[in-house]
Amino acid sequence: MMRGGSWFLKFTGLTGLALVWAGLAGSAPSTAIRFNHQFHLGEDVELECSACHAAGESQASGDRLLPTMEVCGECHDVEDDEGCAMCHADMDNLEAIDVPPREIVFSHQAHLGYEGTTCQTCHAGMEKVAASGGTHAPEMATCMTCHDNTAGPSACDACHTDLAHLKPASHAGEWAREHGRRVRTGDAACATCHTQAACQECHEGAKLSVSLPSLGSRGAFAPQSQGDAGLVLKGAHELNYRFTHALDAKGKARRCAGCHDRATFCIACHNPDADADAFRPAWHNGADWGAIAGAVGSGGGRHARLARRDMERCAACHDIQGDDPTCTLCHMDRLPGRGNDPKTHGGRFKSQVGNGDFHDTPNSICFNCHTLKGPAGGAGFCGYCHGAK
Amino acid sequence: MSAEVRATPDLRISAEFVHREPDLSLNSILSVFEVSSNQEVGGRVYYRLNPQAGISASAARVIYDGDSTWRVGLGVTLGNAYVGYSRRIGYGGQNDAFSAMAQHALTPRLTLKADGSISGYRVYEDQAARDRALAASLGATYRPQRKLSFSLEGQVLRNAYYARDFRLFFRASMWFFKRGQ
Repeated sequence: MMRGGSWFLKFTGLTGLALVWAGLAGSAPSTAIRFNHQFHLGEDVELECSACHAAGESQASGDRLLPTMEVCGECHDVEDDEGCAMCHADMDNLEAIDVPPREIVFSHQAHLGYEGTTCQTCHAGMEKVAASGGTHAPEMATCMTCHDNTAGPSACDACHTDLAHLKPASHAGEWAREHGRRVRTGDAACATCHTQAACQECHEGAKLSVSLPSLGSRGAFAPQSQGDAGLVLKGAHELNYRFTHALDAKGKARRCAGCHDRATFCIACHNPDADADAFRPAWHNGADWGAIAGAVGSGGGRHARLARRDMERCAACHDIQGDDPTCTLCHMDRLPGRGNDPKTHGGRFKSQVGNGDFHDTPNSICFNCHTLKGPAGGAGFCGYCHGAK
Repeated sequence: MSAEVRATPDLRISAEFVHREPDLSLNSILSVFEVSSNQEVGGRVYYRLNPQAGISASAARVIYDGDSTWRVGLGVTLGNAYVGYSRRIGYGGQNDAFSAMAQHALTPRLTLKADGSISGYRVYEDQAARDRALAASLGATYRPQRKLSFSLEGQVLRNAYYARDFRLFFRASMWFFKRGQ
C-alpha cells in the first residue's frame, strides 16, 4: 500500500507549478486606425486590394501587410496636421499597429499563384466591412475547402507549426467525456481537424490506457493529423485504468460495451474458469449471497438483488458465450410448470419475447434451460402453450 | 435527453437525463433474467474567465433499482493546462481523485507535456480500506524540422498491485509528402 501523504503533497505542488508554467496569454492587436474597407473597395474609390496590401510578394504569414502611411499618402494628404484625426482614432497613441506573431505556414504569393484564387477566395466579404480593427483572417473552415487532401494537404502540420496549442476553446474541461453528446447532436465540426482514424484511436477497443482523458490534446505526439496516435499505452483511459475501471463500470460513467466486446474483452482477465479462487470477488461470499438465501421463493438473496440492479456487472465475468454454466447451475427448468425452480424471467418476459426464436431455431438460447419434454416424457417446454402432446 | 443554455457569452449550463436499459447481448444467457433499468440526472456548468482560463463543475446522480451513486467534479483550465478533482460516492464506488495536465511549447521546436493523477478509491461495499493509485507521465517532443519529430515519454504508476511501474517510450516520425502538380 502506498504512503499517500507525501505523494499527495508532491503531486499538488507539481500541479501548481505546471499551471503557472503553462498559463501564458496572447495579446490582441491594436486597432487605433479608422478605415472603411467598404468605402475604399466600393464604386466611389474602386481600389484593388493590392493598392494597399503588398500580399503578392509575401511568402511568410508573419509579413507585415498593413500599408505604410506613405501608401495612404498616394491619395490622402498625410502632411496635413489638421487632418490626422480622420484616420488616427487615438491621437495620443500614434505607434504603429502591432502585428501579432503568426504560427501559420502561409505564402500569399504561392496561394495567389493558384488558378482561380483571388484575395476574395479567403477574405470574402471585405467589401462590406465598414469598421476597422480586429483580424480579417479567414476561418479555418475556409482553408479546408481546398485543404481536403486532394487540392491541398489537410495534415495539421502542413500549416501549423505550434502543434502543442492547437486545441480549440471548446475542448477545455472534460471534453473527453462531453464530446460524444456534441457529436450526436451535430454540434461539433470534428472533421475540420480529425479523420475517422482519430476516433478509432480510442473507440476501437484495442487501446489500454492514457495518462489523462481530460484535455484530449495529444498534439505533442502527433506529427501529422492522420497519425494522431499517441505513444504506446496511450488511448482512451488513464494509466491506472486497468485497476480502477470498475468505478466507471459500476457508476455508469462510461459505456464499456460501446468499444469493447464483453464476451471476448472482459474475459481476458475476468475468467471465472481460469482460477475460481483468484477471481471470485469477496463480495460473492456470505450466507445472504444466494446459495442458501436464494432458495426457491425466497427472492434470490443478495445476488438476485444486485443482478436485477446491474446485470452488466455480472456479464463482465459470466457472459462468455454459453461457456460459463454459473447461472444454469440453479436456473434450470427441471420440473416444468411446477414452480420448483428458481425464478428467472420477469413479469413482462412473455410479452417481450413474443413468438420468440425457439420455434425456428434449434440453437435458441431458450433451450439452454428448457427441454421439449418433461422429465416423465410428457409436456415440456412446448406444453406451456400447446398443452400435453 | 440533454439541454444546454449559454446564459452569458462566458457561461454555459447544460443538463442531461439518461435512461439506460441493460446493455446485454441477445444471445447471452443473461438476457433472459429479470433486470431493471437505471436513470441518470446530471448537470454541468462551464464558466470562461478569459480566453485562456475557465472553470467547470459537474454533478450527476445515477439511480439504480434500490440504490444510487453520485459523481461530482470540479476543473480549472488555464492555457493548455488543466487540473481537476472528482468525487464519487454510493453504489458505484467511492473515489476522490485529483488530476492535472499541462502542455507547453518551450521553444517552437521543443514541446513538453506532463500529466498526472492520484486517487483514493473503494470499489466494493465491503472493502475495508481504500486503495490508492498514482499515475504520472512526462514527455517531450523535439521537431528539428516540420517533417521530422522525436518523442520521448516516461510513465510511472503506483497502485495497490504495483509498488512502481516505470516505462520509457521513444518514437521517431518522418513525414514523406510531396505536393503533386
